[in-house]
Amino acid sequence: MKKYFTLIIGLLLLSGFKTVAAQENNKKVVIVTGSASGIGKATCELLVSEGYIVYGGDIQVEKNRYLDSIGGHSLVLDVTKEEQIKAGVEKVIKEQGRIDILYNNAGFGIMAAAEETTLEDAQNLMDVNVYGYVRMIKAVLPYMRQQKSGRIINTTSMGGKIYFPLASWYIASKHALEGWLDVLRLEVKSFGIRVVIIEPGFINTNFYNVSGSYGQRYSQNSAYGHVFEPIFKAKQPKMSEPVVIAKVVEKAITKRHPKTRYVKGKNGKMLIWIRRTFGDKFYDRLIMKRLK
Amino acid sequence: MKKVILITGASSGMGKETAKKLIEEGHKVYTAARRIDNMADLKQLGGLPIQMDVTNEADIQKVVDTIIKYEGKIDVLWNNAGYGLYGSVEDVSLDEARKQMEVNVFGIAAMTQRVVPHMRKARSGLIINTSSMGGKMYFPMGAWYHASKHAVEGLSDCLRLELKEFNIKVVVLEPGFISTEFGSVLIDNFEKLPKNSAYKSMMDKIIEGTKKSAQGNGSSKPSVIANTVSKIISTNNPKTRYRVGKFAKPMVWMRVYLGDRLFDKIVMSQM
Repeated sequence: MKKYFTLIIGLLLLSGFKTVAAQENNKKVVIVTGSASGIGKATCELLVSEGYIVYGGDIQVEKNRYLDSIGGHSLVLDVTKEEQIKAGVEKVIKEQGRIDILYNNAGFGIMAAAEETTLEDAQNLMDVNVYGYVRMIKAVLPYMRQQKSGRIINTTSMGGKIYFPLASWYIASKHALEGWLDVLRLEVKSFGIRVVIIEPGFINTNFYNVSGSYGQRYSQNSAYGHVFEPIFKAKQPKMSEPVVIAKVVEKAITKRHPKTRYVKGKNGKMLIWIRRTFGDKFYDRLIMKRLK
Repeated sequence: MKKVILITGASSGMGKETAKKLIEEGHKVYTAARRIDNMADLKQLGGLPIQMDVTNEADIQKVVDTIIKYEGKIDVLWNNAGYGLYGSVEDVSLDEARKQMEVNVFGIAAMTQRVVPHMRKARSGLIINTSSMGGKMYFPMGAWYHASKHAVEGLSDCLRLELKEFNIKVVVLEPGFISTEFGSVLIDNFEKLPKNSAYKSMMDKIIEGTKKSAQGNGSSKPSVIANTVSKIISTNNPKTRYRVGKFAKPMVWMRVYLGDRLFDKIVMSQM
């Protein structure tokens, strides 16, 4: 009887601690990039509703204003512009005194053959998808090091581990991020800063419209018409809703020991597993057959 | 069969060693690099040195036009030019980082864009891209090097899918530790970094480790790469990836199968 009593008291205490911990979590200061739509928006909405102090930055200034009406803070933020990043981070520090979480999420894709993608378009993509993350990280690191705490959470993609035709620069950018962030994790660990990579699968966002609009342009007079054609005709893949990723972000914030990587969303896990288990040539055939 | 081969980064290390072997095997080998003076020995052996910077599109166009003019085709393009930029994420400037990506990633893309049209016309060709075991795993202080090599891996995978239809093969070469100028370039890098860096102790440990592995038995000879490239060129059905040289296979295996956390511990314990 006494044993049960201790157990119940123990459980009560534990749950008590949990609520206290949750309240502390909810006051955490979070910066999200690419907050105006898709995964970024779903994440901001979730985190604001959970009581976090959320600053969301985006280039789509008007669309991003929703944040101010739901209790968050919108920032005008182009991740390719050093001065906007500096201003945004300084504003957060001035108003909150700290940055607990950076969620790097702004990015886009280009649908085009590697041979035909102009290097200028490729540079622009890398400027957002890779250098954009790096600029943000460099801007917050000094504060996080000072705090001796912080989490840097990053949207990469299943495309950081696998590949698709007509997506070379997107795939290159996401692969690059994976390697870069692995090194970052090693370097900042001793400062109490955690780095988390989130690899979404197919998610129902504006991503496919943006990348597809490049595809419309690049498919004109292309030597790769035979690759474009079936992709344009193919049914959309099964997709998960962005909130699925938002929940993973919250997990990466709240878990005492977050994983280094989370793969989430339709078919990401399966495709990565297939490539790793059966090898490149099998994976190649599988992907190309789906396009025939 | 004799082939027309274009090698970038052929003035030293793996590129030069391999060029020698391929010349000896009787291929027409165009060796491209910025430092043309360093390729006099290749010329003597029967190679065709040509000055080119992979970040200069006009240079590239000129080289490709020249080869097409004299040979009418390019059978093999080996994108091998590259270097390692080391330093902590916080210390390395974006300008230096960009330069690393320009040479290691955009250089390959630019070369490929100029050569592929000729290969497509011939409906045959082989592109070999030098990545690294560092395209599949990572060491501290090498963020940009690993980013660039990871990017090469992904870019090459997409290229392979897109070019298959044209009978152009794309192969990724993933060397491990090879004794080349790589280590000394790395140490020079470190010496340029701020002396009051927050990452100083980590940097010192890596310099020490690099010096040690340069002296000891920690790396393979470039001839290992020469043999592999020769094999890739002569085979009809090459693998998608070749992982060769000291520790490349076990390092990548550990990373893939032991998971990040354990791999992190192993790498950091080596410092």
